[in-house]
Amino acid sequence: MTRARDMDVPLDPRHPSDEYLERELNDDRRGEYRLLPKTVFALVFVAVLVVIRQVFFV
Amino acid sequence: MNWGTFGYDVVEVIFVILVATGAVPVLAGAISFVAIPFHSVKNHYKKAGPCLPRVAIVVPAWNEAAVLAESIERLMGLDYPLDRLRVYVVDDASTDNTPEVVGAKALQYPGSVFHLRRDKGGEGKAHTLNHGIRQILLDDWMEALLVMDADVIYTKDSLRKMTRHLADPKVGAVSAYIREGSADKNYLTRFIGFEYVLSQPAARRAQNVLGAQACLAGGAQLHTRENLMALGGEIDTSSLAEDTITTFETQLRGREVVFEPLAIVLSEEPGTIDALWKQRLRWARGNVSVTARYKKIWFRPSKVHNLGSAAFGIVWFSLWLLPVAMVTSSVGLVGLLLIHSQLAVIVFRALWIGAAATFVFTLALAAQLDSGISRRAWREVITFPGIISIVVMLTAFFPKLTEVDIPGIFGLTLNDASLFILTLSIYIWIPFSMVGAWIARRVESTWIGGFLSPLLVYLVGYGSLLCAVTFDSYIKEIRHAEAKWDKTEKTGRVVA
Repeated sequence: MTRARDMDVPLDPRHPSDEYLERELNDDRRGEYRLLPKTVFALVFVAVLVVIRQVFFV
Repeated sequence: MNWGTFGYDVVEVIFVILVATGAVPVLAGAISFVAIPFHSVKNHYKKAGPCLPRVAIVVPAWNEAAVLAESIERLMGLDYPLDRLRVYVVDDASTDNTPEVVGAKALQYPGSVFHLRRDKGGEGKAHTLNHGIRQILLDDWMEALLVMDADVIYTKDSLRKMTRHLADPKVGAVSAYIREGSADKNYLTRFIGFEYVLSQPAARRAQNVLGAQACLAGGAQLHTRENLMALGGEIDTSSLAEDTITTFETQLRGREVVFEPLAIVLSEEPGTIDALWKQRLRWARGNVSVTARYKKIWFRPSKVHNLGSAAFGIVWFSLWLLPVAMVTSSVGLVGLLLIHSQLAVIVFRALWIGAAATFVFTLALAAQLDSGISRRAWREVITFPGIISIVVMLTAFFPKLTEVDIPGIFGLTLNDASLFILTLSIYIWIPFSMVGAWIARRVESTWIGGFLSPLLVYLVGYGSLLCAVTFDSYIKEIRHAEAKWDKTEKTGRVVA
């Protein structure tokens, strides 16, 4: 899939076309889904702490 | 009824309630950060669209000659149609060569850069902004107004990433991510850099999800003309918290305030504790006035806005009352310890394990939201709660570690007396961490400050430093100390 930042347009960055702006918007909207794996990764940190506590310190 | 046992139980319950107050900020942190992943589906991008309105940029400037030329140059280089941009620099009776710098830029960009001068200055940012806004509103050219600071640098695509949200007529204002951008970073600017990650791409995403924004960034707030007119065509001048009041008033009128995490604006932040203290004291005192001014909206749900939601109220008050919670929870813990309550250890562990889990989750998530800042500030990310608080958390999480294993390494066994002193020290640590932060400020300008102040901040934690400032704001408010505009000095250290 072509990402907005990889597109040839806008030829003049001062005057981005509506198509470019739409694509950039869609890219950014889809990019927010990366929050999900990031949250899972952060939760894994907490889980590791809990496991260490349960295994070695209880 | 055994009145002695009853009295003991009552006192015990009171102490447990006091300890529980310390759990409120932990709960607020958890609410905020658990909401962040929901931004993947509950965001404003679906309602945004291509939108490039005519934007008037108002730049308040008092003795900003060192930074203005670069700021204006960056604005003129934005990926935005030049014929749809106007920059109005409002010179607040500067005594340096600000007029010459702006005059030169006005000549270089005729019709795009304007120099407005106030003969009487020093009344505060809101007055300066209003001088410019009055000029801008004289004709109907402006469709959107961008309020910024003289020292900030807008990244090339930042403005158009903000304006796209104005395609939705329900939006009144949009804010951007103010990112610490000093070239000569020190330990404090690295702490601030990570604090801004926590408070903006993290917490403000959560506020997007909750549907209520606490504050538009002072250096990056974009208003529609309609919103500005609804606010009376001017910025509130009655307090030091004009940004927050503007944010609240916008939402109270039923307009949305959107935070755009991908619009990045670089700013210069204080490099000394003293400068940070003055800046944050101004903010904290402003928040006191905001809390009192909007006393009728807290925890009162409305169909017009979400400022009255329980979640937003908890988040707002937990920050404002954090120092109180720190003191009361410690009083409760010490009280339980002194009456030899069996609950002391249980509530201590529950509180601090909750705090530790929340801290680990928030720091791990926030660190991923701006990997550039987190890489540069990895020491500050790890030590953000303070090294001693980390030890306290470890004590709660892994009690055997600090009470048996570590003393055992040195051939020590803790007896009851030493265990009591260790426990007491841990229980009273949090309020004392604010004292440590206060000492860090006091010694900063002495011969030992260059070494001792950073050491103290790493030990007590950056959060305790901010809590100490909030505590100072209570004292200033109680004493009715003069609330004056104490401008943060900027020297042009920002680099893109």
